[in-house]
Amino acid sequence: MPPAVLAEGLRKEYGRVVALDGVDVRIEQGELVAVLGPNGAGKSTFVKIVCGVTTPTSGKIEVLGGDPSDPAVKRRVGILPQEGGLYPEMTVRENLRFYSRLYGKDPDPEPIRRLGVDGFLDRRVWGLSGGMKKRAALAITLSLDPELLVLDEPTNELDPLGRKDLLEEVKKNAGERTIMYVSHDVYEVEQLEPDRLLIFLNGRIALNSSFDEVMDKYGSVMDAYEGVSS
Amino acid sequence: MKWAVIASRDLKAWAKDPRRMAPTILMPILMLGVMYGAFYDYKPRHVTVAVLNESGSNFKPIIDYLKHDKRISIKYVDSVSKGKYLVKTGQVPVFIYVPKNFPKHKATVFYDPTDPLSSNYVRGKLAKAWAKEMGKKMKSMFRKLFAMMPVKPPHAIPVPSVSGVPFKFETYVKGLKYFDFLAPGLIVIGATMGSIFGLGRVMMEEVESGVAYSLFAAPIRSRDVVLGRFVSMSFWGVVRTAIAIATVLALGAKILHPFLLFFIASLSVATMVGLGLLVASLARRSEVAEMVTGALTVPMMFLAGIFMPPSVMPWWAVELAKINPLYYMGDAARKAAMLGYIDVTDVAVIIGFAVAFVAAGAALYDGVREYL
Repeated sequence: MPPAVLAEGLRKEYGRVVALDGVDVRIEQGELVAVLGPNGAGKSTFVKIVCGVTTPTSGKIEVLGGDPSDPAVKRRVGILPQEGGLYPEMTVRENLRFYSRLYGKDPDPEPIRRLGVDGFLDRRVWGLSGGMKKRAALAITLSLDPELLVLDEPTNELDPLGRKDLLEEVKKNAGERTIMYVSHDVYEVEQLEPDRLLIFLNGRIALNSSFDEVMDKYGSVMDAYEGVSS
Repeated sequence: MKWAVIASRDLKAWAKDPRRMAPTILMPILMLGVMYGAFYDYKPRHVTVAVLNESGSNFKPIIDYLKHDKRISIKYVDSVSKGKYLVKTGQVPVFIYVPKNFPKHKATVFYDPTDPLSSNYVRGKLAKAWAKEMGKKMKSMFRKLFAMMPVKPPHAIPVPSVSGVPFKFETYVKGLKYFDFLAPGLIVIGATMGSIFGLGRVMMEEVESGVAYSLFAAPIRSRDVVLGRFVSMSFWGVVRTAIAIATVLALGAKILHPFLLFFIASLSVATMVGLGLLVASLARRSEVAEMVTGALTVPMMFLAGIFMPPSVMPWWAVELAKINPLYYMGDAARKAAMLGYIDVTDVAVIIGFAVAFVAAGAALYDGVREYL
């Protein structure tokens, strides 16, 4: 079975700015990986490359054994972008139908029900609260049953209960699919208890260890974060 | 003084952004320059008049008078059909057919309704030439008459006015009003402007709502996203075209060939959707897209020969107009609506612009992924 994500010497430049500077990482299928790092560390660029939104300047990237910009690979990857990615003027149901057609998949109604989105399926997205929008976007992404799920700062705009529900949903999905969980919040990542932790710093991976190793060595994710940042 | 903090931030942000600064500086210069060019004069810059003269010397003085005018040049043709063809294809605005027994039989002045100012100018000159010629003849006649009289009259004998001229004027559509001249071009503007503004707004909203990110991550190639956009925006543009044509027909505009006009306006819509795509991909922010679109569309409208025919523009405005797709659209629309004639050159240029805009827009749209 090919790895979910394989990066070797991955480099990305935006003009004179180096966003990624030789990233090597291998994420196995079925893993729950948390990606941490300060602003501008390169984690969002890494996510963009993994999702096929952009291409690297140099280096090698494989997702589920293929080129991430290949539509056949993209069909197997689900992304929850920071802004949600739903058409505001359409209802949640219309968004669900739109993305189902785009991905060529019949949506699974179970995540819609489980996340309580069925209660506002016929409401327009622009009338929903930030938390409802995030739940709807996550439910739509999950209903398309991605093999690799990428969550880019998914708890932004969520209240504490919403965060808790979302983390529980992520945990439920762990094992069923590979999950890359990108966050700023070290405490949230500690609650999540991922299989592995990646910390990006200045376009490189400063830490790539299992969660257990991190906890054994540093005692907390915050201490690990401070340790590699200093 | 809190307002000063806001104003200072906004001023600095604006000044630091070349995409905002460029239209801020260029728009007023372009606008006024273009207005000056578009409304420079009401007389044509130059008119070529096609002539088929079968009367020989009877009409020669009139031709000489026309030739004397520095704005007019004469092009002789050998058949009526050739002269009419030149008018229909917009190569000359006026064709004069002078029969053998002129002035007993009237000369036919066949004019282009799509260039009313040029044809009016020639018509005015013809009337003056004829009046002058008649004046000369009468003067000579009276001189002979006086010479035969034994006693000179105490007062000058009033010269009878020259009533009527030996010309009959023909065109494809008679009794045109200014609105009839404007209508085809206004239809093109009405149908196309929404396409440019609409697409820019949609694309920028997608970037801001994260939908663009999701689309680039989805199993769809960006060229298919562009094509989908192009088809949907063109469809609504075509609907607007049909409504615009129905409206001007209801208002009583003389459009002889509405279906040909519909074809040209629809083609124009597709081209302008391509321009909207290009502008939106370049602008990267909704307010910049709107400014750039505004800065582009206003000069385009006035340099299209839609409000005043290009024949009255100065040469530099005409040269500038030649890089304006609306110039070809307006011309093609007028010819299609009023003459029932599809100008192949205009159509080819419009299609060329469409291909160039869509290709460049699609390439630039793909670059949007880099700044998401």
